[in-house]
Amino acid sequence: MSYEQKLMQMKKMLKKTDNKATPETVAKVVKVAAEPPFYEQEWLDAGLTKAVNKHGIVYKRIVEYDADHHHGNIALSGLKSTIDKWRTSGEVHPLSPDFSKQLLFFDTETTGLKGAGTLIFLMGFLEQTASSFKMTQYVLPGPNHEAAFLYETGLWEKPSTLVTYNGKSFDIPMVETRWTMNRRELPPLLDHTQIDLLHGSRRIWKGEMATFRLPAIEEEQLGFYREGDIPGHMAPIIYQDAVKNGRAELLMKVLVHNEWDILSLVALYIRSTDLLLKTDILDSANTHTNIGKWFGDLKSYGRSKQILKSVIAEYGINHPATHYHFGFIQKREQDYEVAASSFRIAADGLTGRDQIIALEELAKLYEHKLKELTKALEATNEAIRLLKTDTRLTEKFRMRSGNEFKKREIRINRKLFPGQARESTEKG
Amino acid sequence: MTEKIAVHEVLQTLRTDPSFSENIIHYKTIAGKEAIYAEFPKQLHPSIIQALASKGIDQLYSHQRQAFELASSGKSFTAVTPTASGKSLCYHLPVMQSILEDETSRAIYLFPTKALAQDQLADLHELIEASGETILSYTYDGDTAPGLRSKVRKSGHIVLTNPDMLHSGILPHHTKWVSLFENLKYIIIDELHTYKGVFGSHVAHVLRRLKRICNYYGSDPVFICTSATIANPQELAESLINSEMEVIVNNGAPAGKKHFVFYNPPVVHPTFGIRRSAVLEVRDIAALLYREGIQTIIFAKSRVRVEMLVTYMKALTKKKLFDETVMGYRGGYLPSERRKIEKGLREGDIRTVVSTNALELGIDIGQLQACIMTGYPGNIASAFQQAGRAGRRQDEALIIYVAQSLALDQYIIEHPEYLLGQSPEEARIHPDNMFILMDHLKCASFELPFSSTETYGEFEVQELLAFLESEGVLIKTTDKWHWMTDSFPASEVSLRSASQENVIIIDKTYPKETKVIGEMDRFSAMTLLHEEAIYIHQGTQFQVEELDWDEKKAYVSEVDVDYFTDANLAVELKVMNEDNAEQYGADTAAYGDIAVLAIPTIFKKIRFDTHDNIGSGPISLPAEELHTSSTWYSFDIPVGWTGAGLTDAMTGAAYAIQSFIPLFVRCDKTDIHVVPQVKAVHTGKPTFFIYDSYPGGIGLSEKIFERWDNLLRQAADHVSACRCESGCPVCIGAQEAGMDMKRDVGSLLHTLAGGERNVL
Repeated sequence: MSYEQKLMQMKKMLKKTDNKATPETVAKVVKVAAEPPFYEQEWLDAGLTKAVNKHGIVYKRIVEYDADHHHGNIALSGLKSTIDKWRTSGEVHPLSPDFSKQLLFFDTETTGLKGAGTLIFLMGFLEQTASSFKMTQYVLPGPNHEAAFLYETGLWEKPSTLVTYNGKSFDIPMVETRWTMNRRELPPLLDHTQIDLLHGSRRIWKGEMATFRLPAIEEEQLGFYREGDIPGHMAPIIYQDAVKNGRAELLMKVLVHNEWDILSLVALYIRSTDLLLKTDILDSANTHTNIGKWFGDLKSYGRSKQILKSVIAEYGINHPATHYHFGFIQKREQDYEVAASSFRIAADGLTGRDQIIALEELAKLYEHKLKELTKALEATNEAIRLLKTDTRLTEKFRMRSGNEFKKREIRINRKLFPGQARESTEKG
Repeated sequence: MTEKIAVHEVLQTLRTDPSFSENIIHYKTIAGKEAIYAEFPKQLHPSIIQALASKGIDQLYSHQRQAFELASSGKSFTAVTPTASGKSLCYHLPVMQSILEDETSRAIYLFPTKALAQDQLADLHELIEASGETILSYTYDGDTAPGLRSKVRKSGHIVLTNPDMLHSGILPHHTKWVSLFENLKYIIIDELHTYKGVFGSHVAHVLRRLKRICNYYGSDPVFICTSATIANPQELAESLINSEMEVIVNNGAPAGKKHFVFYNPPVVHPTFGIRRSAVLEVRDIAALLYREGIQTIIFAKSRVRVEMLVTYMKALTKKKLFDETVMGYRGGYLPSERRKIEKGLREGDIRTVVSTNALELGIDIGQLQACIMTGYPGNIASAFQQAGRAGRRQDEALIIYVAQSLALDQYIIEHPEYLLGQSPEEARIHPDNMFILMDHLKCASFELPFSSTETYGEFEVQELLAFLESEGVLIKTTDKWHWMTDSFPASEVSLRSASQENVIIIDKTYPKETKVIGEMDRFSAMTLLHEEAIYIHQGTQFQVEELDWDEKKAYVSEVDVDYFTDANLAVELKVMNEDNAEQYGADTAAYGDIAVLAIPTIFKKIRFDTHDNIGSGPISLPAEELHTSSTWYSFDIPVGWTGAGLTDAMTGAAYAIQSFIPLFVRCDKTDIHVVPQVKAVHTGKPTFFIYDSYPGGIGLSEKIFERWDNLLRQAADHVSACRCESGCPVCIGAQEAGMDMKRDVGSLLHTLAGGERNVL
């Protein structure tokens, strides 16, 4: 029977209440902790343990890792020095932890992508203990056990620093939503410090990676290859199935998937920090230039300069983009000669928009700071020529930049040849 | 500007100049009334008084005062307000008062469209600014900048939005709107009358879901609705909101005397009953009004007509440079353009504005002196709204109705009392529709799990929830039904389309500029949008190049051919269930559920004028099944009729009946189908079936079930009264000459209506 036919049959059964009163007040429902689900034993047999709190029951899985555990080609033991590096750096940086709080690597698995009807069914936390690492995964026993599940994570108890991958837009808002749905029972959710490594990866490996999906990062940056992993998008169906028929084998695979995600977070955090704070060149010129630019954007000019300088020391003029950013730093520091030579290298080596901007900076420096009007005019004319011929530039940019260079040309000409300025204007 | 010429002088010209007067079939007047004022309520906040004073308001109309008092005492109500009677103050005042008394108070303003919400925001901002207070009001819709959204959610006092956004953008994400839902004092539903039919039924459920969420967060908001004049504002509001509602009907706004002129263009083709084009008549009348300096609004049904009329009218001003005394106004204008037109009208720079029915909604263009309706807008409520555009305060207003050669238009000309004498139609919704109900039950389950004792709106839903569990959508635990799939149900439910799967019509005449020009329900699409069909859209011919049935898209290109296409649809009706039956003499009317199975077979190409068959082809589309509600009327074969004659007569009669359904229920012609069967399987007799076009039915045929006698009588009278000789599009559809079909149809309908036979 089709869905349509079934519905037409149900029509006869449709009953109405005669009152137009408000629906039953949910608040009045006395909350009793839910009974364990029928499949409890099967889930425990699969390797979960049971925890009980004042809101009911929740299942857990705890994994401990030795101090010398490697994930991909990265040793977890590096985390200690990672935190130390941040402490001694004194940097105010999005990846820097709040040292007063415990650092927790955190990832969730959910039954959907958005909205109040999407549940979190798995939350994993990894913390560093005195001698090793401990991963705790909380598993939702069933949709009616949410309060106990959320409560058990302790996210209401102690403020911590949560390290996530895309947690700012996904995991944390999802936790907030679930908390709101259970707010009658639960103490308020605390405001935790967040470190989102997706954001960091995008800054560091801009231009290096085609995609920033975690498995791609794992393979290219961490040397970790997943085997026998279930794809993340299968997780909702697997959980749904596990709740309906009680079977937990596939669910345990989701736990492993989540475990790998979190181990990758630790490894990625160590790797990212090394790239950011170590002075030696560990990666490509582009990566380190990205990092230098990032520090510059964060107004940490000293470190930015130092990084760019060491890239230049290593690669010379082979990576003109570094000179481009270095030029801005030098200009800030009013070292106009050096800035001009950096922009010259950038203008010769780059293409497109950056090339034009480098020429603009050159023209500005020569006109206003170094007072070499002929060179200023040269840079200006070069830019005007490029704007005319380089069709890869957007029309809008060509228009706007073109106008500005035209004005600059007239102005420089007027300064160079005060008597002929008028004529030149008319020609222009 | 020179002193305006009084309306009655122009009226005099119209009634005496033979080129107009001979076509004026009726002339009626409706007396005006004085304003009824009331003092400001004592507790009205001084800042609000200040804001009103700055707009020159030092007292309220009686209905505004009544609205304030009802709202303050926590009573939900509907204010029935004609155009330009200060309806927005009915809700702005209590809402602003509540926020000024308690800063945490919140309100939702719901408008039927995004454009209207954005329009109203400007108006509201003006009032708030004049009050000197900080009240944050925002629109929240698809255009709201992502960066602003979180601010709107957390600190917007007044959120202006539309039902679609509420349905898919707010309710499923209610956890992000805690401060709104916890403190929601008022929900404003503007333009209540637009929530009818399928759309209204959907919105009724969106509001049930909204109330459920409010209840969860502990708020119990007061509903304030405003509506144009309809027959059943209270019933509509109560079924939409599922709460008791008060009604404010006594309007304190003043009104001037209204002159109604019913104008019928002269017959130019007696055989086919064809009259001179209404558009040309409107042009001539409007030119007269323009020359006399009367500010006029002309309503036309389509954009094309608007453009035609604007072109004609601009010809009057072509000798003047930069003349903007004639303006068009149709959907898609930017707010800034609207402001300009509005200002031009207020200041008298614009003398004539030509509009589609976009202006029926509450967009404020001020009041004009005259209104010309090009044809009947389809229902009385719309006609009232259009007419309401004319008449400034106590001034006299002129309303001219120009009929087209269409059944309803001609009916109105013959029966002006229908337009003036009776109250407008009922606006009906049908939240009981199983398909709509189930769609929203899913959305509601997603938003908050149902408990095992909970009801939803007025519905007992436990069995339905069990059904959803069996379909794998929900999971039942001890005391709740939990959502347990990774889908997002609101994105699968559209509030607007009549059926979930309308066919979208895409014009690809210019491959780089393909555009959607319309949509059509699946059923009609089978016969009108099959490949090679000639589809006529606003007078332009298109040929269907490709019909992608799976994707429900029809690609069309503009053509210029001398034929049209006519498809045969084999329709099988199966009565599933007969719920009710009633005797009309020897005839029987019944009501129940039916399954309609439609299979398109072949199409013919038919040449214009000669009606020669110049080709044909097969249509290969799958059969479509529709489960819906229906009413049917069966009768014994009248004495003296043969089978073949009866088939033809029933076809003509069905045409006439279909035209008149909008007189009884407020719906569009395509919302309902009439199918004649000379020997129906279910009854074994000649039977007319009328069924709703929407799966599950939307209560239209149920309404008609009670009114068959009236419907048949109206149709019978109209056919006899039609001035054509042997059938025309106004009565029974175009007929080949020489067949006495019109007499047969009239006779059949009169027989069924219980009147005298052989009237003709």
